[in-house]
Amino acid sequence: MSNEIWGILIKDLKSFLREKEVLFWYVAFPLMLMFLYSAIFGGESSITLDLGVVDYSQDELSNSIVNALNETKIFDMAIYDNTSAGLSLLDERKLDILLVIPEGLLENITRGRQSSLKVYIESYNPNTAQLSKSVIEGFFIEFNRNMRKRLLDEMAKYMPSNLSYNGYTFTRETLIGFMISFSEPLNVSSVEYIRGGRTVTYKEFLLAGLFGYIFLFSGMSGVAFMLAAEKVEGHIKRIKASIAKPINILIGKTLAELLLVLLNVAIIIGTSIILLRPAIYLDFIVLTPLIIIGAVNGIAIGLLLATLSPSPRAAGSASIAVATFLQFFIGLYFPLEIFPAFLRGIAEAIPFTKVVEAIRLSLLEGVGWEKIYPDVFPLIVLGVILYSLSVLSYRRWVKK
Amino acid sequence: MPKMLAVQIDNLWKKYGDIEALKGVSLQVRKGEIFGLLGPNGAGKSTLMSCLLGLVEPDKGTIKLLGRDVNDGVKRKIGFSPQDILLYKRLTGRENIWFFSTLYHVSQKDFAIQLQRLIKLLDMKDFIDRRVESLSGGMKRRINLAASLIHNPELLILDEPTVGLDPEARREFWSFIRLIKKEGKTVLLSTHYMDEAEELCDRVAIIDKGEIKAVGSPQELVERYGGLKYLVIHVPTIYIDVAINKLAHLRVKLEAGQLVKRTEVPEKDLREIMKFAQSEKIPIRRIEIKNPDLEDVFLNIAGRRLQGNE
Repeated sequence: MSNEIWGILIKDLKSFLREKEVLFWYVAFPLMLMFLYSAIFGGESSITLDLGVVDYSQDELSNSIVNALNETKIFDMAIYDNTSAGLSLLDERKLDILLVIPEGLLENITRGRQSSLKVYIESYNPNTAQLSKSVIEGFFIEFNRNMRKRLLDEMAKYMPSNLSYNGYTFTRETLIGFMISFSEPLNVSSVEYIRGGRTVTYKEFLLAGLFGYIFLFSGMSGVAFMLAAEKVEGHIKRIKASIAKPINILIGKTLAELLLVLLNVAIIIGTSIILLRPAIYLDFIVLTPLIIIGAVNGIAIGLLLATLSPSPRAAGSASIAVATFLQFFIGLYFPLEIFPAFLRGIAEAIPFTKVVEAIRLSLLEGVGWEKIYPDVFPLIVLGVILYSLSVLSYRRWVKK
Repeated sequence: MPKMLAVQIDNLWKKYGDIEALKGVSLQVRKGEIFGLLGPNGAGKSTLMSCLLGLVEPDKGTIKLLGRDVNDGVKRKIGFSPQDILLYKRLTGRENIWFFSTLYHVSQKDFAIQLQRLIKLLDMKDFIDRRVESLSGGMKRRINLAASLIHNPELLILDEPTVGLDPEARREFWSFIRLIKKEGKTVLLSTHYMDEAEELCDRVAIIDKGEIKAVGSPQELVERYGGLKYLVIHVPTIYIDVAINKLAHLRVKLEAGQLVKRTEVPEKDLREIMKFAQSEKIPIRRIEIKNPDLEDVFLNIAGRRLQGNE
């Protein structure tokens, strides 16, 4: 290794490791982020909706609805005397949902008449409104299904065991089956298919995503800031006055940043294993090249941003802006499946997405290199192109 | 090029947009001397140094360092210490110097030998292994200087080497520069401190507005451009206006807030001023007879004071 490459590498590593504040942002902050996101989106704490019920019926059936709602544990429920009392609370956004049960519910049902229940949904926040609507509708779909079965069972008691018509004889069970298929032609039941024989917790999903976070904020922004700082403090001038070759300085910086990314990943994985005990596969033969590919791409973009920006401040701002934008698009925090179609297209076109997906496959499912390679190959090519461009840009930048 | 020249600059021009930073600068620095570029800020000193180091391409003119073109492998023989202390604050002095040694491909063995020599020369033993962030300005300057000497260069280029140092630290730093000279090295430094140029440099070039105005030893420059000796008359501040009126006929003038009389016969004029001041009851505290210095040289050449341009 050339003398100056070694010099830059050691200098950058020592400078970084002695900077406590930077260590916090590189190591502690991603972990904090993981705990925070897990707490919010991990699904381990259930959602609760404030539900108000006005029961004008006060009969056996309405009571069973109220009890069933209560048993779901999704609702924080309160009973009100009349609709206007409930609506005023809805208006004050103290309720998410108001359910109004009309008079004579049981009577209507037993006489074969349909009853209309009214549901008011607080819609100031469209996301909460969507959630409230889905939850309450889901509840009544299930409630209706149970009730239908009970009603048919009740009816069956009064039916003859065989019914003849036009020379055909139908059993009671056959008739009940017909009636069920009329009211519910399709019976959909879902089966959870678990790839690899286990489910993945959000923490585990997020752990793989943090690799992408490191490529963006440690690799890309890190190198952009380090290079910009060298320039603003005048070190580049002094280095240029020496016999060191600019390309060797760049190689030294890249290697230092690469090692820092690997170190960062190692610390994140190590700490996560100790604190969270995730069920992950640690296949370093697959993971190491993936990390290097992701890091080189990040570093190359960081170098381009640093060398193409008119000032160090602009370089820093640009790298933060790009990293902040990308973190939501490359599947760090949420699966791409929740994205709208056009955004998903963009997300899938971003090279980092592929590497994050590949890391996730390796880490969570133990998928081997032979299956991952086809998806990651374009990223290797892109890394070579980006890094070559960054070398050209860096040479021009140093000369300037 | 004569063998004894470390630097030869011929007709160097450099323009930044509409601003002409260097206007036909020609200069020769002899081997083994301490040569000072004296001029106010913005005179063109840093541009000239940047051209010497190959950091800036001149528009016109030639530069020879140690007989070779700057891009002809001569950088290995040149040490450079910039005006700002460019050290990595989280690293120790030793680590910083090691890093700069790698930029000049110094072997580990040579580094160890050279560092020991520099620690002794620049008296750095007590702080060489402390982090730079904890060092004083003078200590940092010494580390900075050692970093530029670690590859044992023949020519040392120092850009404003004592900016920001207190007078004591500056004098100490000058003693280190003299020691470096004793080792046979050539030192080219830029400064806007008149006393630095006068006390430290063997020869000085006065530079102003991108032009070399005069070159010579401090004594030669003073003799040639310094003008007459002068008397500095000290009176209480409240009497300055009275004194200037009463002593005007003796050609006493106000220069930079001081009552000054330039003269070829200082003793005779001193007696005359004392006598007159006594009769006019002007309370003179003391009168100094002063020789002209580089400040006067600059004043006479550039038409303004050097220090006033900082």
